[in-house]
Amino acid sequence: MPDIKIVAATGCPTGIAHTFMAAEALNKAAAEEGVDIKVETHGQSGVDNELSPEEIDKADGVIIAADKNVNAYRFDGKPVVSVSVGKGIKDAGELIRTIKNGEAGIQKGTSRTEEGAEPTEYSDSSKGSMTHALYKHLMNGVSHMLPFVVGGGVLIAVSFLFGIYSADPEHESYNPVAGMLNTIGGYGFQIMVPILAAFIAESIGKRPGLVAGFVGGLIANEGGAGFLGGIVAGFAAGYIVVGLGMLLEKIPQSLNGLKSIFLYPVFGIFITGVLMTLLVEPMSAINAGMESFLTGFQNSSPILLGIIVGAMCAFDMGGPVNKAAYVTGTALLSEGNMYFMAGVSAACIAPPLITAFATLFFRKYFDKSERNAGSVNFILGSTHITEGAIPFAAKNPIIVIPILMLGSSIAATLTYLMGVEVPAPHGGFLVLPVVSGVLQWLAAILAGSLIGGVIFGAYRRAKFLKQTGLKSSRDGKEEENLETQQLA
Amino acid sequence: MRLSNLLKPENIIFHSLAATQEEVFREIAGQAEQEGITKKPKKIVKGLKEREKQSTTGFQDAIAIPHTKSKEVKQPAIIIVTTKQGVEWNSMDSRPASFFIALLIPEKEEGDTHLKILSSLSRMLMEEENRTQLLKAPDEKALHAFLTEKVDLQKEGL
Repeated sequence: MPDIKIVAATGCPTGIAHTFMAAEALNKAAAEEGVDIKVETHGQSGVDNELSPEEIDKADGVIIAADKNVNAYRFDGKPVVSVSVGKGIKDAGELIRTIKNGEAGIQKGTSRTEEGAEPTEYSDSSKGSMTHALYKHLMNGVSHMLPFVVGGGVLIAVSFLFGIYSADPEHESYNPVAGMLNTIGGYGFQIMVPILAAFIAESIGKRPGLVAGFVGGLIANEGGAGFLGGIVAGFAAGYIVVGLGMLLEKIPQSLNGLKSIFLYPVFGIFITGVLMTLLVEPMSAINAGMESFLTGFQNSSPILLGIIVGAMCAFDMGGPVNKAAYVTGTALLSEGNMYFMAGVSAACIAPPLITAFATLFFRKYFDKSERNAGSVNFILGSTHITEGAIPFAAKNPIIVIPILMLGSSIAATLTYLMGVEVPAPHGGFLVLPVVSGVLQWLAAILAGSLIGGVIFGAYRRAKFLKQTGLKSSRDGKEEENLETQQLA
Repeated sequence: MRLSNLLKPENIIFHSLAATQEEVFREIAGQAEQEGITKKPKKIVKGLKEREKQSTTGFQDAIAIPHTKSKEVKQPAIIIVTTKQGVEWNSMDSRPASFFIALLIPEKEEGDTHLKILSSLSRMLMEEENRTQLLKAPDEKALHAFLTEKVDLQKEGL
């Protein structure tokens, strides 16, 4: 058989020795077998001798000898043998012969595991799993947003330690340090939604997407559309830019510079901006509508009220629905109704605590950054900073939000049933001294948080078991770059 | 940078009495401390052990390449230890190891030339002829000369 071409990728966890030994072994074995080979090494200093898409395309087969992710999705549709790096060193000849004799199986866009080799976790998003691609884009936004939530949230929480009104210059307990901390933390929160939108869009449309996503996210935030609005803005901006890329394909190469510095930003921002402006338009109406809806229920049964308040507070955590509940609570508070606010507070405190308990009890089903964020959420939850739960909810809103709503509803319903009164609109557990029915209130919140936490954790466990072997998509970066290269 | 910058003649220890993996690691870490490569030899031992847990660094023909990347490594270095008796290492050919080439890599990335050298050293080991030469070296000096010549020449040849 003349002219057999093989491409291979090697990698090991430390990337110092075995990666290169396997590469050498494959090179030697290929020479002995008389076949042509190119070996890409994933070592400590990065990827060397990188395989181009054309080389992969022309190859008769692929050998993966790696104990780490070598972006195997690139080899979908090719005959692939995938083994551990050790086997690559020891049995290089055998691997070459497998390809040579046409005995290798065709890699499909699904995960396959062989002897500790990294399963191919990315199905080719251009033709394969759509939901997986969407999830990956979402994750890119969430992972970039998370530090802002933690940083901003903790600073705000610290400012409450000076007294829950200490950041208000009008109030007698005003403290300039607390005011500053609160303002700085507030900026962290303000940029949270734009960051989420921007990096969802970046994952879809690379840098031009980032630009349009930032502006779209800002509009969502200013328009009161909350993080759900930010997710919409991110996806809209990303795909708008991808669409622009297709439209602009016909423009001559010589105008490429003009494209990236002028056409993409101007039209990307313009179209995203117009769309988002139209989308957030009804937000204030939704907000007002929800408020009057809720006010109509203020004297209904504690159970019904608890369910509605809980569901509203946990639905969008800072969006129009949550704000409606909160504003109604503060309005009733100023009329002397301290009963209504108790349920709102409980429902706002529960979501971060749900994520905190879930990461505590089901540690191994969360990644490291989630576990850290979960621990911080004990602080954010205890200080009524609902936003702490957003990164968790944003990863999988359709499933996580109902869980949070359930937990919050339980907390609010129990609070109303036990007739707790909370005279402060904020501050979480820091206002305990002025709460009447402290133990009942704590019990209600704990019950809701624990139940929600166990359900959330059980969901993550089930999800993990279903896709064992999948890792968080942090090292999916290169795939994103590949996908969007045409746009740059 | 050349291999001779990473492998000092003092860091080749022949005929060690170490008889277990632990003892080999302690020998390596102790030498590293003495040469100012690290201040915390215990951390080095721990790092080497952890790498070994992921998969064996035992290769074949009694050669093993334990390695670790740690912030306790102050400068990249190679330490070679040969033991009088074979040490069980779960090697690929199931034979005990007695020739250890330890690679110590600092956490901080200060250029990657040392990584290139280590990778060419690893590649060199795949050549049976080279392994035979290594194992035949009569003393520290001869081994040092052979390795530096082999690796640095190969590098320039590339």
